[in-house]
This record gives sequence, C-alpha cells and structure tokens, in this order.
Amino acid sequence: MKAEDLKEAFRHVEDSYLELVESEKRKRRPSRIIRYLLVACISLCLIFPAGAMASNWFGLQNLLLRESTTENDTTELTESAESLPAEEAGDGEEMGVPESTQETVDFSGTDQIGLSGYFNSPEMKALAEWQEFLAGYDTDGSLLAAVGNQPTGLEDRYALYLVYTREMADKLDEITAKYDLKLHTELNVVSPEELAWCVGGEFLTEEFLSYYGYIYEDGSFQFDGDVRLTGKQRTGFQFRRVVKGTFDEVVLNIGDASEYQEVPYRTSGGEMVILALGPNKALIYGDFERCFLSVNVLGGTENGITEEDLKAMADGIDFSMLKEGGI
Amino acid sequence: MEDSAIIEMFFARSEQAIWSIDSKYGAYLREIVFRILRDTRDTEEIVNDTYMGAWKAIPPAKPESLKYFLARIARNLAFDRLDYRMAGKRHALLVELEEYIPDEKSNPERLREAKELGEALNRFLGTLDRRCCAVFLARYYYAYSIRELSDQYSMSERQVKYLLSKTRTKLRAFLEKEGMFSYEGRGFKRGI
Repeated sequence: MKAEDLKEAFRHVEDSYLELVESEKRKRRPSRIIRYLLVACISLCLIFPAGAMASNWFGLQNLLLRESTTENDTTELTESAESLPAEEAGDGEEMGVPESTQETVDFSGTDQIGLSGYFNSPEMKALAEWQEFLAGYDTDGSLLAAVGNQPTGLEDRYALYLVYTREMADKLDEITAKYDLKLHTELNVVSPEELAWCVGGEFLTEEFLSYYGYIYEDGSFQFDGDVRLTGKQRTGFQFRRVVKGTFDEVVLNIGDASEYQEVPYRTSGGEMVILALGPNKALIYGDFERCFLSVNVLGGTENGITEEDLKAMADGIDFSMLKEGGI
Repeated sequence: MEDSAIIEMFFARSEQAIWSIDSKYGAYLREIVFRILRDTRDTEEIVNDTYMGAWKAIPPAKPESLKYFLARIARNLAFDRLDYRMAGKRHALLVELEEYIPDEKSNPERLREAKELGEALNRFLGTLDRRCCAVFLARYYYAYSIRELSDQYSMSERQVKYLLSKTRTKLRAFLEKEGMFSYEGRGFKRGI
C-alpha cells in the first residue's frame, strides 16, 4: 500500500532536515505601521576629502520592493550620492555613515527586498511590477487549482518562474520586454566544487562550509552554507549572485527594515559592501556593475551576531572574483 | 533542563524524566499531533502514548536529539491513529504524495523497500534548498495546512502550492533516476 510506504519512508527523515522546518520559519512580528527613512547623501561631501573615487552608498531601504505606481514613491537618490568622494580605505576599513534627508512613507507588515539590484535598476523595477501583478492575480487560487499537476504547456520558456497561465506568461513577457531583461533558461544543481569551477575558483575561506546549490545559464547562482564565526556556533547563510540583465523574481523577507543597523564596509580585498545587522537576520551585499551579490545571514543580534562577525565574513569572501559576474 | 540530563533520568528509570519531557516538549508535541488529528482528546492520548514509547525505547536508545526523537514517535503514532480512525480512507496528505509513487510489492518486502525509500528521501531532501526542504517537510512530515505554511514561511498560499507541486514532481524524477521505480507495468501518468 503506497500510503504505508510513504508513511514508513518519512519515519527515516534525518533530524538535520527536521531542524530546517523550525529554523526557516520567519520570526513573528505584530503587524504595525512602519516608517521608512530614504537616504540621500547630501552633506557627506562636506565631511570626506575630495580626490578619492566615487562612493555609491545605497542602503537597505533602497532594496525594498515598492509599488510601481505609488504616489508616495517620489524619492530619487540624488546624484550627489553617486559622486560622493570616499576615503581611501585601508585593509578592511570601515567607512562613515552618511547623513541623509528623510522622506517617510507608511507601510504595514514585514518588509521584502529584491536581491537583483537597487530600486532604480531595471531588474528591481521589473520585480516590483511583477510582484504587484502577482498580488492581485488568482487571489483565491482557483486558476492554480484548475491547472493542478498537469503540464501547462508553458514549461519550455517559463519553467523557472511562477507562471502557470498564459496570462501570467504574457505579463511576464511584457514586463521583461519593458526593462530589456532576459528570462532564465536553464538551472543546474551544483556541488561546491562545481560552483567554484564555474566562477573561476574558490571564493570563500575555510571558515565557510558550502552545500549544494544551483546555477543558472547566465552565471547567477545560490547556495546555502554554514560559517564558523570566532567564539560562536556555526551560523547558516544563503549566498546569492544575480547577474544583471536577467529577470530574477526572488524576494527576501527581512522583517522590519528600520531595525537594521547598516554600515558601508571596504573588505580586506578592497571591495565595497554594505553590512546590515538586524535582530534576527543580517545581510552582506554589494551592487556591482555586472551583478548583485548578497549573503543572507540566518542570525542577528538576538543570536549574538555582531558587526565584527559580519566584517569577518565579508573579509572571507572574494568579491573581486565574483563581481565580474556571468559565465 | 538539558536533554542529556533528561536522558540520564530515563536510564535511571526515574519517572521524573516523563515530567521533564512534558515540561520541555509537551507543547511542541501537542502541536504536532493536533495538526494531524485535529482532536483534543486524541491529541492528549497520543502525547501520553509518545511518553510511553519513549520510556520503552530509552534505554537502550540514546537519541542525539531528544526533541526530534519524541517528534518522530508522536508523528508516527498520530498517523497510525489517523489510519485507524479513517478505517481504510487515506489521509489527504499521503494521497497528494502517493499519486507520484507507484504501487509497491506485497507486505513481506514493504518494510525493506520503505526503508530504502526513506534513505532515498533523505538524499532527495539534500538536493533541496533550505526553504523548499522546510516547507516540504512541514507539509508532509508535520501536516501543516497550506495556510499555516503561508504564514510561517512568508509566502502566499499560491506560492506554497506551487512550491509543493514542483517539489513533488522533482521527488518523483529523483526516485526514478535512483532506480526506485520504472514505468514498465506501472501504468501511472507522466508529465504531472
């Protein structure tokens, strides 16, 4: 009897997988109105000396998914942010946090960010429009139920996306055409060794333990792993590289963005990244010309994670190897 | 209280062990069982049976994770109770899965093949990303409803259903690749 076989089989699931059921749950937060502070780096030019290369300090708030038609979304990062001179940092030196003008927008619920670029990038604009479409489409699930487990006929082109009707496919095509983005066409599961080979070599120090992941045809990839932080238990993480020019629909729930402490940081390898430390989660991310790199650290201040830990992690990643992006 | 101390109580045949696991894991176990049985009285019975099962198993068993050791007993007992209650009907969760798994051979080989299936299942789970694995197990091991999954994992219900559907398809493909099943003489559908 099939049901009995399955019931018996599930008895043998290993504890390490059962742990994931708990660890991957989001932390519950009461629903409340939150305010956003949008960063515009105006006065920092008065603080830093001229002559250094430009600093492009965009913070976590600029990764937040926004409604594509919201009237409140009138903020634009000023050109002064992009042209801001920066300190020539030494080995792993921390940069100062710029002052900002503030503009508030009311939202409720938890915050979601995209992992393909900042809000003004074509990738994020496309993602915001797609998410807005999905929020109002097939809200009762009747269309998905009608499809059931049958093939949709859309698998050839849309297998790697949440598309199960022609209408969804057409909308996705419309959005990606609007922003001149390609769709992913191929995904392969890779071992850590295979991934290193794909990207041109080892890019993590020995403190990192990588697990199997997957890589797309354009070189975008994701894998999970654990990292050994000094004096702490191993901490889980998710590592993602999203090559620009291809539509990526992954979003990450980060809880309350206003609870994160952020600093720009120049790694020991000389690359600029942002460290964002929250109560239950932390992020290390960098926006590069050809790709967006992010590390979702599965722990925050309530788990004993510190800014020093994030710096150590960032120093253990060879961003220079990864930032060229693409295969 | 540390699990190691509780296990020592089991080894010492101290009934304080039962009180300790009830205090530490009782709510967790009740949640697991209730999610399957949806009945308060049955839940209490099964949780008590779980403690009895642990008492009989420890010693000689010395579980590395007492939490999941108890959860495993509770879950299995809950599904056994469900089978008894439904008297031949099948739990919807297992029906969702078994459509992907063809019928097996007769009883004498069933347990052995189920163990092999379990080992293959673990290898399959290792190919999934953390979230997908968590949602899949939450559904088919802990019997979370779609709504509960949506809430717990910050996904829409549609995304949950889609993820489960894709994962079930991957599971079948994986088992076929492992040689667990073949299409010959099975008569089940492809492409679903």
